[in-house]
Amino acid sequence: MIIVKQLSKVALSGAVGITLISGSANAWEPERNVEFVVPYSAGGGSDINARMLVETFRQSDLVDETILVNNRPGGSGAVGNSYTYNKGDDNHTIMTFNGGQMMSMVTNDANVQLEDLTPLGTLALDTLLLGVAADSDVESLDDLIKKAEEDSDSIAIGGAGRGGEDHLAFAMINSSLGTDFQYVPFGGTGEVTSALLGGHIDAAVYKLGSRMDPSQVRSLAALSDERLEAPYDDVPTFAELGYPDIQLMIFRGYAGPPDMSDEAVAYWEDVLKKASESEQWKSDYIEKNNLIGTFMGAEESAEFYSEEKARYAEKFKEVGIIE
Amino acid sequence: MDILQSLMSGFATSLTFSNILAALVGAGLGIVIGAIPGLGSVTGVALLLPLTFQMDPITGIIMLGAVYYGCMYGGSYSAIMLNIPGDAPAVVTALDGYPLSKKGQAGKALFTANISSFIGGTIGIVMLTFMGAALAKIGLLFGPAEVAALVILALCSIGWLLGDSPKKGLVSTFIGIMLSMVGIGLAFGQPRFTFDSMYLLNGISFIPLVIGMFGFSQVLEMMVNRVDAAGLMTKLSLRESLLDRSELRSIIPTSLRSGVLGNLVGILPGAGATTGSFLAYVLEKKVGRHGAEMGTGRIEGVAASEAGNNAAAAGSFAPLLSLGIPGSGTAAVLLGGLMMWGVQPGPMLFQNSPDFVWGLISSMYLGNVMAVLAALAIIPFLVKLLRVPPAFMIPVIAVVCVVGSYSVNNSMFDVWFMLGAGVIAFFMNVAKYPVAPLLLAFVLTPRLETSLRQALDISRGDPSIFFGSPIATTLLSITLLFFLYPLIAKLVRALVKKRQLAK
Amino acid sequence: MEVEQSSERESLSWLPALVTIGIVIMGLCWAAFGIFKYGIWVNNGPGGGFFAAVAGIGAAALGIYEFFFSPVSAKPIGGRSLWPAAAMALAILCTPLLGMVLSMSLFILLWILLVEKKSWKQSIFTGIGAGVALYLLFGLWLKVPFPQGMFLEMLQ
Repeated sequence: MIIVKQLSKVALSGAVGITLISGSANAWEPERNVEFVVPYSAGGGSDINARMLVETFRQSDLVDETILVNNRPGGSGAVGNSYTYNKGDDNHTIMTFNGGQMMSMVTNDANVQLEDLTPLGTLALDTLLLGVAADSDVESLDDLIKKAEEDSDSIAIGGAGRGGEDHLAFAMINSSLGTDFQYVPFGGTGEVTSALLGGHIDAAVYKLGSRMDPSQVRSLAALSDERLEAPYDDVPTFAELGYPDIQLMIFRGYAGPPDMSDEAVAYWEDVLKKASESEQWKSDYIEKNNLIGTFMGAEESAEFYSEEKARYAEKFKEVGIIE
Repeated sequence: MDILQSLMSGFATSLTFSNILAALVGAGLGIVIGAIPGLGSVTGVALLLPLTFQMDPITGIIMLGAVYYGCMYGGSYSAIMLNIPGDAPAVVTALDGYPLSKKGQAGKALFTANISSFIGGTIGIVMLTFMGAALAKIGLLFGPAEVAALVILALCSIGWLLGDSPKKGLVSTFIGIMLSMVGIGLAFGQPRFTFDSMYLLNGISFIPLVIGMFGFSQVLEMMVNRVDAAGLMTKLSLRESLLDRSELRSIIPTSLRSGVLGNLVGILPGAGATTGSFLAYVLEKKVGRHGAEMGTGRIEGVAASEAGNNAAAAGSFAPLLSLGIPGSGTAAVLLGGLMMWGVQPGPMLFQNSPDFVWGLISSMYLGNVMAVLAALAIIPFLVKLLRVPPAFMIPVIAVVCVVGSYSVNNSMFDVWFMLGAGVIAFFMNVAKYPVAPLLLAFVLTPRLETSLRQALDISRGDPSIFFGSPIATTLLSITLLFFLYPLIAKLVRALVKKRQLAK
Repeated sequence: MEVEQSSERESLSWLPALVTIGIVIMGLCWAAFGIFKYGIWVNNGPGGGFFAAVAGIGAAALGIYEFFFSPVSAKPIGGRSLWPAAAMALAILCTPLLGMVLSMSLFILLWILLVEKKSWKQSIFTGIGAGVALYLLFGLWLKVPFPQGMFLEMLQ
């Protein structure tokens, strides 16, 4: 027993060790029902993510015990975060954790912060695009900038929500381009699309995962670190256009309570890795939701999240969303 | 004719034994889920979505369509029988539905709700079938400025519901506006009136508020008025619940009017079924023959609200199918489902997967028919339920309120909130402050604030955005006309009186 | 019985005035926050405090008018009306211990037995029936994660 424990400690410090663990018997396995906290309502992006993951676990026989999805919406994720935080050292609680959730921690100065949770892994990335209506005379980013120069306060850009991913992307674009665009927050990407197609706003920022139809909306530039796949493969990244600072990858990951044992972290990391490799996850979730598949382990995720958090705080401060 | 042919071929694919069975099961489940306070069509569709992945896509979407319609039907039951509206549009149904129930005419109210839901839903689907794409284009004309003007119209028309004590009604409206300000509004991003509670950060949640203010306060009321309630309940029989010919004749024109109006409102981005059913109700109060008595228990009131909200629900599918934009929460969940099946909604949908689209549209007809059949079959049992003596009703309804408000967000905070709202609403009832205007203002004000701010952000503070748009100008003039008209009429009447006195 | 009820009615005749005072206080509070904290006019348009201020001032003004100039009118009620709220508050306080389903069926059982003075048989039948229905409908079918309560958790 002691040897196994030590092994897992070693394992945590390197990726080699993870294969060691999954090769040998696991140090920890769930013994009763697992609670899967979703800090947003049923039917939303995180909810679909959780339910698809449970389905993948089930079909690939990765987790023996039943996993129950528990929606705890409220406070832009804060209610779910603090619910999970209060589970203390419970190894049987996991939670969806995404970029928007972390942004609201920053903008709302929430009680439970990233440091109060245990990152377990990241399985998907999303990014954002800037676009105009397909029938617009704006053909490229340069056109948009030119238009703004001609009439300094003419451009209104819509996005979903205030203080979230879309708003952050807008802030990055506006400060790097040195323009005076106006951000207009809407209740959701659907409303943004309506306003864009109806000509009420000039441009919009939207997530890759919202699957904007290229025949309706012309994407001008992407905030991804490299070129996207079809049908967005002809959209240049901001870096290609000379603005390497405008880059934002939003993660969809998972976290546990603050004092989850190292053995349990290793277990969840391992099943998440296996799920991310399964065909079903790739085809039914990643592909259908237009996301970028990836796998980051617990430690790598923790590092990535804290880097991103610092960047979010800096950007939000820069544009005056937080003080 | 092309459309008719496509529709027929759609029916050819959808009318199989297993599909009809799926529709019937879906309708039944939907009615149950819709009738439970706290669970609505969004939850219903989201819960059953994973189940349908095992099915053939057309069977799956038929089942979900039926669940959706079932929920819409079921939502009116608790509003009428218990005064607990299951969702926002049902608040309007309760205005006349519950008074009818109190008069011992719950059965009539339920039948009216179902028949007018069916008529409204059918109008909505027919309009969707023949003019879906055109309607969706009209919807796009409504930007923030136009939506703001529409919501101003709706908010001002709350004034017509205030009835005998307009001052108290106005106070309630103001309280509704104040409560709606709690939380981080989309328009400003600053937390307001949250008292540092994370539970209030996203605002007061509507369903626990409604369950408390309508449902739980009703339980408290029943403690005193239990005797006459029990007396009325025993009078119910199925025969007395059926509508007679003159009643039918009276609700059909109402349902038709409300259906068309509701459908048009449902198409608009972010306006929603509540605005649809509420404006239909207000229209009926203005133009209907029994408008003056509405609010005291008229079947026309129930008919207007139910036809309006079902037609609005169908209307929200127009932008979904022709533009890929979900017009309502449920449509958004369905959109998720469509994508799971590999169907990409949008302008190309009708060309790329005609089988699926026409299958879906024909399934709406099927779902609506199955839902009305299932609903009508359930009414006799429901009416019997009302005979349960208050001694048992009081604790059971109280528990339903608690469980219902818990299930919305799985939150104990909501349960306590519901309890508090119930007691406060009871006190307000005692002091004769009406609760309905409060809830309507609560739903409508955030929409006004958001659209107003969006419009002014777009124009960078230039108010001409409201006067440059013909739609917004028209809506605002209608508001002015209806608001000024009663004032002028009052003045004229006063002048005439003075002259008569002078003579 | 009659006499008892009428005395109850009188004991609550101060309630409407209290409600109106509450409304006035709330209105003033909202108006103050709206004007001084959230701002009524921002960037050439209504600010975050605009609607709060308008509604707050409106409610306070009308409330004051009601308080002084309107005849006091109250629906007849009895103090008994608040019993369900108090009893339910107790039942909800029990949920961390007993869990939602058990607390709610106990509430129904005890209410019917003690307040309504029905027979043991009727009370137990209704209480347990409601509990089973809750469990089947919400717990099993809709998978609502009710609080389980410490008792059940210890059993596990």
